[in-house]
Amino acid sequence: MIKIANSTKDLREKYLRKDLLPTIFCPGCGNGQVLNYVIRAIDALNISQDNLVFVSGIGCSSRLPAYLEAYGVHTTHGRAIAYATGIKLTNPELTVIVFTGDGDISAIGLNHFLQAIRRNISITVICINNENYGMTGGQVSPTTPMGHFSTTTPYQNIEHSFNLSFLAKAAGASYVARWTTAHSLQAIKSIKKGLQKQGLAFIEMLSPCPVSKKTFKNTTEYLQYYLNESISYSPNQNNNTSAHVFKDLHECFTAQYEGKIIVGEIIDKEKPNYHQLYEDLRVRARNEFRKNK
Amino acid sequence: MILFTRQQELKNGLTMKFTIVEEYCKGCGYCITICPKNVLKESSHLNSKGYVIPEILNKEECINCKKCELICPEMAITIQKEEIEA
Repeated sequence: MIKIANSTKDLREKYLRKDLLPTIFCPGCGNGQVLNYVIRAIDALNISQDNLVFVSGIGCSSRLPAYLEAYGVHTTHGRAIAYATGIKLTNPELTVIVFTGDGDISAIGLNHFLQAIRRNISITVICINNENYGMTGGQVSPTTPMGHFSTTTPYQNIEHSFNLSFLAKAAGASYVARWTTAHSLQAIKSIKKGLQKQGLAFIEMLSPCPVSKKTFKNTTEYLQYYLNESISYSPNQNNNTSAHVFKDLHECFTAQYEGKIIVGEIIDKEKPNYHQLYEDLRVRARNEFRKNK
Repeated sequence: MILFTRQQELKNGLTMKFTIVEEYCKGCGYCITICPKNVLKESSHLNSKGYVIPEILNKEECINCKKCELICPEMAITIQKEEIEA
């Protein structure tokens, strides 16, 4: 059970820029909800606002750092993780959070994403996945599921889609979680875990896009869909009673093809991060240099 | 620490105070859908931008689960315990 320490009003006044509220997002957009969860996670961990840096690329989700009372960098399309890597390496004391969309991370910036996972830089990447390019009018993106309609695929999408969480797991990320915007408490818990993680934490938030996504017309239909059709993947749980918990990946993917959404903590492991290894290297190199002298 | 059940709290005169910032609300209806006790309801009242804002139907039913606070994309709802003035 997560303890909600401060009231929403206090949180809003502490972390959000009042002159920019209400946010620019469409009614029912998931970006605001993710902002809400991130604020609650930061507040629960008591991270100082002076040590927080939010980095974002281009897209609807990348407008989020503007609303936060902390340092924010709004960078070029797809290169948010590259900038975040630089910030974190320059000053490892900072907590770096990357807000990114699916078009940002899975299309133009996929290479940066995979390389950051390979190096295991300790940043927290929060991907708000609305399964299309929402800002430019709902074009097909690499995460649009097969058979879905979009502006550029009026006769259904025939391409296979990426599942970014499992892609990150395969690349070797130390923490991966996948939730929808309807899973509030789970998402807050995962963001908290991700912020405490020494290594790259990737949190994928499936988000509705009531304007551009052609799945449903009503905002509340998205909420019902996320609550009813999601199934949990948890390899470590010894609970065989629940019909919504799957331990086997094969079962999960079978369910996904039938229209279910896989959610859950995909992986949580310890792995040496880049900063530790770099510090070790620095000490070792200095000792060897002195020895040879 | 003494924990009260909701019934005992109601007897002792505790109720929930809802604060909805009307200007921030965009009428998405998430709070209405997520509420397990159907406390919130769509009203006929519009805010200055023309969005339909929710209204509080039956305050006494609220169990302080804070689901509406968590789900709100604009952080517009705040729930606090308040005492009824006798």
